[in-house]
Amino acid sequence: MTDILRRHAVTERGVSDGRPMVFAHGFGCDQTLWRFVAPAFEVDHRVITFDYVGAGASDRSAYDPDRYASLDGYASDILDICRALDLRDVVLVGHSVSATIAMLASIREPERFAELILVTPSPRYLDDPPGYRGGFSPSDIDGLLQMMDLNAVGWAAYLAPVVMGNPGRPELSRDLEATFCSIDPAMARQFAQVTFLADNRADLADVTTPSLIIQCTDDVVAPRFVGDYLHARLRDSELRHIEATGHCPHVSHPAETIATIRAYLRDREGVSNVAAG
Amino acid sequence: MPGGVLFLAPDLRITGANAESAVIAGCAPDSLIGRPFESLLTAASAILFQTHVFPALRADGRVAEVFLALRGPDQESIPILLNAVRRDSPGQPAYELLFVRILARARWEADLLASTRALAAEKAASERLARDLERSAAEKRRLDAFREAFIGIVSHELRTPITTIYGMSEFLRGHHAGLDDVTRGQYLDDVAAEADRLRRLTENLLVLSRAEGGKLDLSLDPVLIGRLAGRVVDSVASAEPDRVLSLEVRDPLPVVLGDEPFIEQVLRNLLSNAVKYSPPGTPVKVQVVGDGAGVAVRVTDGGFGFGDTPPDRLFELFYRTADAKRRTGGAGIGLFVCRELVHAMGGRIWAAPAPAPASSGAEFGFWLPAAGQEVPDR
Repeated sequence: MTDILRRHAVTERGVSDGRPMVFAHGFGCDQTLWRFVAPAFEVDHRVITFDYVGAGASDRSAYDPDRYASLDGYASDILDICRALDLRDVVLVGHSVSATIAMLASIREPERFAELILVTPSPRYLDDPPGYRGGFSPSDIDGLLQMMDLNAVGWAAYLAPVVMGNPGRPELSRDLEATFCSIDPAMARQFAQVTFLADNRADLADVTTPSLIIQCTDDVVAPRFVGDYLHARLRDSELRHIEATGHCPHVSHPAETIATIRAYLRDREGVSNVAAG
Repeated sequence: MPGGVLFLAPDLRITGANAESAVIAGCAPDSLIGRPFESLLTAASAILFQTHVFPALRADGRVAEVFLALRGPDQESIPILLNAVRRDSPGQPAYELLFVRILARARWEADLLASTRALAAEKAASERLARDLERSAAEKRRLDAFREAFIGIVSHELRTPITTIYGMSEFLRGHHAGLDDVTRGQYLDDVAAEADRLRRLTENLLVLSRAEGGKLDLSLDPVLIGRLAGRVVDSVASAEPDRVLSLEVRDPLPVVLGDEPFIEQVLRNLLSNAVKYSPPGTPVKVQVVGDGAGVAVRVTDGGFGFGDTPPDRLFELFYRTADAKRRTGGAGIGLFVCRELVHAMGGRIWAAPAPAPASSGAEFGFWLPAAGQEVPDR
């Protein structure tokens, strides 16, 4: 059990007997990206954040290209952590590709999860004409992989500010005790391939856990069409468009993101209380 | 200012731009204001920006030297190097971006990437080459050792019978008138025996050189192995009148698939070994037994056996046990040739101590597969 917690650098905060809330980071960063949102739930939840293997403070030696050759391997990570901590009635928050991973985990062990919070999700990033507009063509994804390779050439330079810090900024120095958005380039590359070539549209019908879809304005990675598509196919789902622009509302617009999740959980609590009463 | 400068609001919309940034992006400066920054980027760069660059910028306060590509007015890709900082003071833009167009450097980085890959490929190729060289060196060492041993055998094992034959026939030519019939007969028997030994050795060497060259051609035909064994035992018995050779053929035997001259060569080799490595007067037994799937031929002698030597070693080329070397000459080829031939015919070959109740001696045997249904009757 501790092996799994160490493997994923699992962090627990908040109320130890509160409702568990697990935050899964997306492609491109690590658990530190939740630090603008997750602390807001520590007052009344048991808040769990973690890194996928290869990202952040995870045990990078545990990276297994076969296990992570599909999103199922990542879903297994979430289930491993939930089992290790014996979590029930979980609110599972997944950003971007982790929204899909969260759905896959909930399909495999639906009894464990109470709510899915899907932040800027997409079940398929590639277009599939004529009916589906994921936003990208295969050549876009090739371009992304090439761009990642090129940035990996200067990877040290890319990470330099993270490592060197900023002496004039004490809050950043403090933050530097942890590493931000640090990812193993080889892991990031495979994660990109698996993420952007995945097609999980067929899995949507198997999701039984109620879900909140949070969609941003002008998100090039998960365009509006995709949000509507998901909402139409996920049973018991709610779709919220928020003012935030871009793909990372939990980073760019944390207050709005927190308020949206809070409102949803409050409404859902009302629903389950009514159902219970 | 040689680079493009952009100011962004917290929602990443452009609030200010210098003239150079519009030049690099290939559009009018005013048209930039109000647009989300990632709308200037290619799709690939927009993903990288949203998933990697912006989170790092937001979390760390700055990013440096990120390679991205703008989308030009004709959808062309314009490589840039981006540096950005976050400003937290109210009334200031949230983010300040500085970027330079980097055609030369983009090419340089692409070259670097390509040469990194080429280097990796070259390394793999040279490692492969080194392995091949090592393999050919090992092969050469093996061939050298083979040639050396071969020359040693040719010089000794071939020369010995030739010397005997030559010497005896010379003697007979000079003295035959003075010899009685019995003595003359003995000399002629010796010449014949040495000639036969020479013939067998030559046949083995032929098989050996073909096997080494990978050109061991054999034609597999149905063979009645019981009859063949009878012929070989009779022939060896007449050449070795002092020895007691017995043959047991347990009928019915299936017809085996093999190359008849080669089967005969195998059996002759085993029989001559049995005779050679056992004292006069001890019996040599040949047993031919079918088992449905094929036929096993066992040659058992009452000799001194092969002691603790692992049986497989006996079939190695040029291998002879210390005991065998001490007792008699030999090339160490016969059993190797037997193994090559039997394997080439799809059979098995083995060595074992002679079965109980014998207290000494060895059993050498081979098994060949039955011809089966697919072979036409003759």
